[in-house]
Order: sequence, then C-alpha cells, then structure tokens
Amino acid sequence: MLKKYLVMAMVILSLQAHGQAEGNSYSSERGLFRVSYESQLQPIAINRIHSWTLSVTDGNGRPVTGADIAIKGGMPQHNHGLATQPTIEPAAEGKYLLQGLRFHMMGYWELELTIDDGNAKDTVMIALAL
Amino acid sequence: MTVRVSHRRQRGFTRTVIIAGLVLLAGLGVWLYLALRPPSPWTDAEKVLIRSLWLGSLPPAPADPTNAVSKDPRAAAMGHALFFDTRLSANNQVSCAFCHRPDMRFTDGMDKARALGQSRRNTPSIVGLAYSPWLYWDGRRDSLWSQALSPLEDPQEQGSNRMRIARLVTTDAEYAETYTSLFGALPDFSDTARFPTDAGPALKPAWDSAWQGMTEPDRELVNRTFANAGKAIAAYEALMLPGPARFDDYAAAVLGESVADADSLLTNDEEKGLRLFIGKARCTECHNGPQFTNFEFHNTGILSYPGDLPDRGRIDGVREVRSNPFNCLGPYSDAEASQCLELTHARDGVELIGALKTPSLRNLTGTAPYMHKGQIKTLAETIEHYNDAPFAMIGHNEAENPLRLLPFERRQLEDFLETLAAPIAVDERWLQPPR
Repeated sequence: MLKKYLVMAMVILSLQAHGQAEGNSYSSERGLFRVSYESQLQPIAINRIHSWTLSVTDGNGRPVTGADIAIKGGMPQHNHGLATQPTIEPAAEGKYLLQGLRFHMMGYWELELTIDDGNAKDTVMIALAL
Repeated sequence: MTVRVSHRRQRGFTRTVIIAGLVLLAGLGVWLYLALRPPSPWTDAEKVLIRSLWLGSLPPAPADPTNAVSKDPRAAAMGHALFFDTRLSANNQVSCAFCHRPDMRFTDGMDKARALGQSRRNTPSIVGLAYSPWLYWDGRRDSLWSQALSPLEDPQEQGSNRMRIARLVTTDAEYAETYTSLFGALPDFSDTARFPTDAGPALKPAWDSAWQGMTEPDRELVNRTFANAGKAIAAYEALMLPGPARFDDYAAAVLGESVADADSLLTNDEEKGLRLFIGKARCTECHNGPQFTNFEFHNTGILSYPGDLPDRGRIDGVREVRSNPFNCLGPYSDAEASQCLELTHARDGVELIGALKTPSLRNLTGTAPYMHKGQIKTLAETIEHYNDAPFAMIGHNEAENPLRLLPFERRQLEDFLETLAAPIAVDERWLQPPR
C-alpha cells in the first residue's frame, strides 16, 4: 500500500518537475509544445508490444507538423531503459505514430520525448504508473 | 593453586546468565512470531498483483503471424511426428525429444544439453513459448519455427543439414501427404545433380561447398521446404501450454473467481512465500504475468559455467536474430513487415551485455538444474543467489541490491514456488511418440 502511494507521489512530483499534465496531455519543459497520447492498447498492460498516437501542438494550440521526435525512457528506480527501441513517424497533421512500446515490469516508468520542429527543441516527460 | 570465586562474583555471573537467557528467549519468541504468525489478509494492491500472475489472466495463445499453419491441427500432427523423429539427425538417434523430454517438461535434467556433442547452454522448456517474442536464452531467434530449425543443423545437437531434412519431408509418404495439404505442391528433389544428398550453409566443408554449388532458386526451394518443416514442428510445440497449478486455485479463491476456501489451498508458509514473491523479494520485476516471465533479457549476476568465458547473452543474440534469414522479416516468414514489431524495435545497448531471457517459473519441479548453463542446482540456491547476488562478471547486474530475506523467508519463498507445479495442459497423447 505504502509503495502505491510512493509511486503516486513520485508521479505527481515528476509531473510538477517536468511541466503540467492535464489528463494525458503534457506540456513540455519550456512550454513550447503540448503532447497528448492515445494508446492502441487500453488499458496499457505489461509485456505487450503496442503503438501510441501522439498529438503535438504548439504554445498556441496549433498542430505541429513535420517535427522530429526522439524518445528515451525507462524506470529510474531500477536504473534501466525500455525493453524496446520505439520509433516515431509523422502521421496526419499534428499526429505522430509511436510504434514498438513494450513495458516489461510493473511500476513507475518515464518516457522522454524530445521534439524538434526545426525552430526550437523542447522535452516532454510522460510519467506512467503501471 | 585453586581459584576461589567470591560469592559476589558468582551472583553476578548467575544474573548475566539469566539475562542472556531471557534475551535469547525473547529473541526466539520474536522469531517464532514472525515465522509462524498467520498471514494477514491481502490488500487490494496485492490482489491486483495476484490477479496478474493467475493463469486465468492468460489470454488464448496467439497465432504466429510468421507461420500461416501455426494453429493448423494437421501441422501439429506432422510436427508431433517430426518432434519424435530420430531421422532428423546425422546418426539417426537424436530427435527434438531427445533433449526436450516431454516427461521432464521438455527439459533434460542436464546443466548443458548433450546430444551429438555438448551444447552451449541449458535445455529450456518449450511450455508456454507460443507467447514468447524471443526464443533461446539469448533470443537469437524470433519464432518457434525458426528456432526449431537450428538444432537440426547444429553439429553438437542433431547435426543434419537442410537438404537432408527437406528431402525427408517430401519423400516420406506420410510427411509428403500432409506437406502437400498444408503447403501446396511437393518440391521434387530427386535430381541429385541439382540437389546433392547433403548440403547446407556454414556446416561441414563438404556440405557447404555442395550448398554453394547449387543455384540460388534451388537453394531457396530447399530453404522454404526446410522452413515449412520447422513451421509444422512449431504448430506442435505451440500446443504445450501451462496447466493450472495449486497457486491458480488459490488465486481464483482469493479473487472471488471460485467458491473454494482459499485457506485450505495453500499453507501459511506458501501464502507468506507468495507475499514475499510479489513484495519484498521483488521477483515480479521480471517473473511477472501469468507465465511468471516477461520474456525479456536481464543480467542478474549469474556466474560463468566453470571453464567458460562469461556468456555475452542478448548482446550477441540481438545481432544474430537480425541477420537470420528465417526471421520475421525474411523471405520465409508469412508475416507482413508491419507485424514484425518486436524485431524492428529490438533494442541495442550495454544493458544487454550478459543479459539472458527470464524463464517461466511455472512447474519448476523436476526441471533442475537452473540458469542458462545449469549453474545453480536447486531452488534454495537460486533464492540464495538473488538474496545477495554478486557483481556481474560482464555487464551490470540488475539484481545487485540484496533482498535481505531471512532464512525462514527464503524457505517460504521456495514453498511458494512449489505451488506452481502442474501438468502441461495438453492431452497425454501429444507427450508420447505418435501412434
């Protein structure tokens, strides 16, 4: 039980540290972008490879098209990365397909998206408690 | 000379003895209380974890998109015959079942497998592997069928070659009939000028040069036939699913999925072992989900096999699977490239050095020794290892933090692991040679 609260506290703290989250919409560190995601697998379960659709908007809420998005992630408490090397490709306007995610442990995960729209670069941290 | 002890000193000594005795007694009391107190009720968070391990949470085995016949009963029947067929070896004595013994849950009880020679690693079970994205301890294959092809040609295992296997499955009357019904027109390998008796790449020099001397289309035809034999074996292997164990009956009762009395299904020690398994012992970090494995690769500081260099594990396995012509993206796979998510998103990196695949913990009974080279002989020693794992010989040991399990907790954990024993959920006839 205690662990559950700790994980929740960590999620909340990390969200405060890395921008604002509303539902599953996340603001980047410097506020240049806002990202939301929709998982193809719902609810997100461990040990299943799946994809997400990311929606990226700029500070004014306009879709960001043609950006380069790099992804890193892992479990900071366990000092290890993701089990896979996901890829992100542009899809429709402001939409990106994140493929090849698989979480291989329950617990607290972080995904770090670095968005480069050609003019500016900023990082979004997505925290997940599985 | 005699030593005279004063009365006062004697009284002091007696008092010390009494106090020490009381302290010991209190310690014993605390120990007994900790070891023997009844388990407390499960919290909601613990129930979530118990449900995640319960066999009832296992979805039906998925079809393998790389193998169009993975769910075809005719393929399973042909695979059944192939699995027990000693003609698939150089000396006509070694079948798949030689090392993957059905009476030993498809393991062989040895540290490293021994067939024609000695293999590099321990024989893993095949039960439940229809769910695994990776095969072998280092994941150097990505489907049951591509895995099944390797031992056939491995000089230490069955030592045959693909030409010989392809000829066997197209000339043996029973195989040929099923082959045609599954894969269409039977290839004709009767022209020995085009199709030598023995041929296969990177095997014996004579077999290799025979292979190099064949035309590309002929080699592809042999490869395809060889792959199809593997696909039939895979359809058979995919039938081997874990059956419900005592733990599953208990879990069902705890979760309200059955009306059984949970307390009558596990002993107090087994129940406490389960609590340790999902809690303090941190086993579910890797041994998670209904098969008690994440099918992922981890370095847990297992020491080398005596005389062997440290096993490089997944770092080599990932390279090999990418270049294997029988992988998901290869010409013999039935999958679309978009269905090869695991292969196209396989990761690299230093975390893979010395990392080996998490094995299932379902039914460990009779499957010792453990680890990729059978380095650990008993469950108790395995628990000792994880309780205080040494530094990894290469790479980084992910399990380096000591668990600090007390002796009685280690015993409870072992008791729990034994509640996962269960027969394979398949009709007995599949575990015997056909007919």
